[in-house]
Amino acid sequence: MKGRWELIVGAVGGLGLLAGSALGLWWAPQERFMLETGRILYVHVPTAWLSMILFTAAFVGSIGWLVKRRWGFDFLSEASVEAGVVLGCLLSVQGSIWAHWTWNTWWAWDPRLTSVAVMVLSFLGILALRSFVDDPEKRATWSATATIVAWVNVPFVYLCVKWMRSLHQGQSSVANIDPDMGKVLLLNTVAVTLVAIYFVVTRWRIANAVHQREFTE
Amino acid sequence: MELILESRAVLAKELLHVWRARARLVATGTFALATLLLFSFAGGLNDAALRENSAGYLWIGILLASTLALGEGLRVETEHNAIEMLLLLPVSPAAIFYGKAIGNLLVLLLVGIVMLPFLTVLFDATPTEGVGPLLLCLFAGSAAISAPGTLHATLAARARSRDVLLPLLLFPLVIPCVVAAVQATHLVYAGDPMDQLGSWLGVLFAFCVVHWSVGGLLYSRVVED
Amino acid sequence: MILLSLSAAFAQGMPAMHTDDGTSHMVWAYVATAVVYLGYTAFLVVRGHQEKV
Repeated sequence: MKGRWELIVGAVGGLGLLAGSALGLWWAPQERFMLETGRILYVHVPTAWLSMILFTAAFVGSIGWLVKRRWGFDFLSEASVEAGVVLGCLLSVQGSIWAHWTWNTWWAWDPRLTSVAVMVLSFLGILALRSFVDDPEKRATWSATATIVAWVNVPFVYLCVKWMRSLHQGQSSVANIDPDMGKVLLLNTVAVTLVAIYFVVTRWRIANAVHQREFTE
Repeated sequence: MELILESRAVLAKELLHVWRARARLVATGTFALATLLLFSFAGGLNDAALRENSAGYLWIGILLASTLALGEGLRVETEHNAIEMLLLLPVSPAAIFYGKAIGNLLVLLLVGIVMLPFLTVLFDATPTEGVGPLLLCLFAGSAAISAPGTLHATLAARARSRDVLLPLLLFPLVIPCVVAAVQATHLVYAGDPMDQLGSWLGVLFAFCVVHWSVGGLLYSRVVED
Repeated sequence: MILLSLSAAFAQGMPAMHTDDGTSHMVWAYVATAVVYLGYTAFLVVRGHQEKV
């Protein structure tokens, strides 16, 4: 347990998320158009922010591995892809629940919802790739390659779905944000960032331990 | 210049390989045609709906066939460790990538061209905008699939469960190119009164530029390890 | 995707559009969020324990 600084970061983040969610649920004003479902925003937006950051961290880790060949970069990539997939799934679920109330359908082919789903699917493939390759060095290089390609692809997915949709119907508009809502949102965003640091660092340590074991065996 | 010459040599090797395994190529084409037939039944044999969706069926057929076509060359090479041999030759890995990718592009293009008359026969789809734009769509879409396809087929060929892995990695990646290719092809069939064909082909072109360059850059890492 | 189908199964009883102020939808979204964040933390703790991190 010694030197596990990320535990403190994670605990602070967790408490912040708890406080922010409580404020969002009971203190912040009700959203004018989305009513109570507007409160999903306080956990939805930070989760979205987080999964984008995590996938970008995976991209950076992959480039780092290919250029520098330090194992730490591969662990970063592995940790962020996994956490990103978990949060991306959550993001789709939250979006889907929100869509069910607002648009009366579980799945709307909204560019954001769809790009997140495609992104989660791409990165799930990379997790599968990792589990199907035994040699650690090959595993690191190949998943780094796949991660870079998947990350570069994200703008295309968004653009294509947006264009395809725009031929049929307009985008939903985002209502104005009350300053109190903004404060809660900020608190939760900072809190989930801390939680994410805890996730990635812990997962990094696990990847490191597994790696050490693989090399000593 | 060197790269072009080397890629051409690799392409010649790939094409020779395809020619020698031409029974496999015929089987891949037949597979694509079988998917077209299946789509007609899935669509409830509704003539209007089938004609409306024929562009989508074409591209899903090509995409499914691509998982057979892309993996094949690399499977044989992996079994005989031929990639290692290729790397011993004074040829850059990028040239190997471009040669293979162009080879795959030609195979997918061929499968697509074989499917076209069947689209007309089965779904009564006639290209209103002419055959030229239709071939352009086929070319752009096949190019967009073949670059990430070649890269991921190389990865998958040397991992366990490669049959599952290739579609798992490739399908999410090519979703934008399927969207763009289907929209463009649909416009060619249904008519393009609002001049949108150009922008969809533009998306495909941008997709190709990105994936053909990223693939060329990363291929050395994939094969040299 | 497993999560998605799970949440869809849970939410069978949810009312359709705009017959309410969306409280039940909001609660389900928060429940899903809590499950995922706590679940992943638990997973990390267990894995960390196994690998003696």
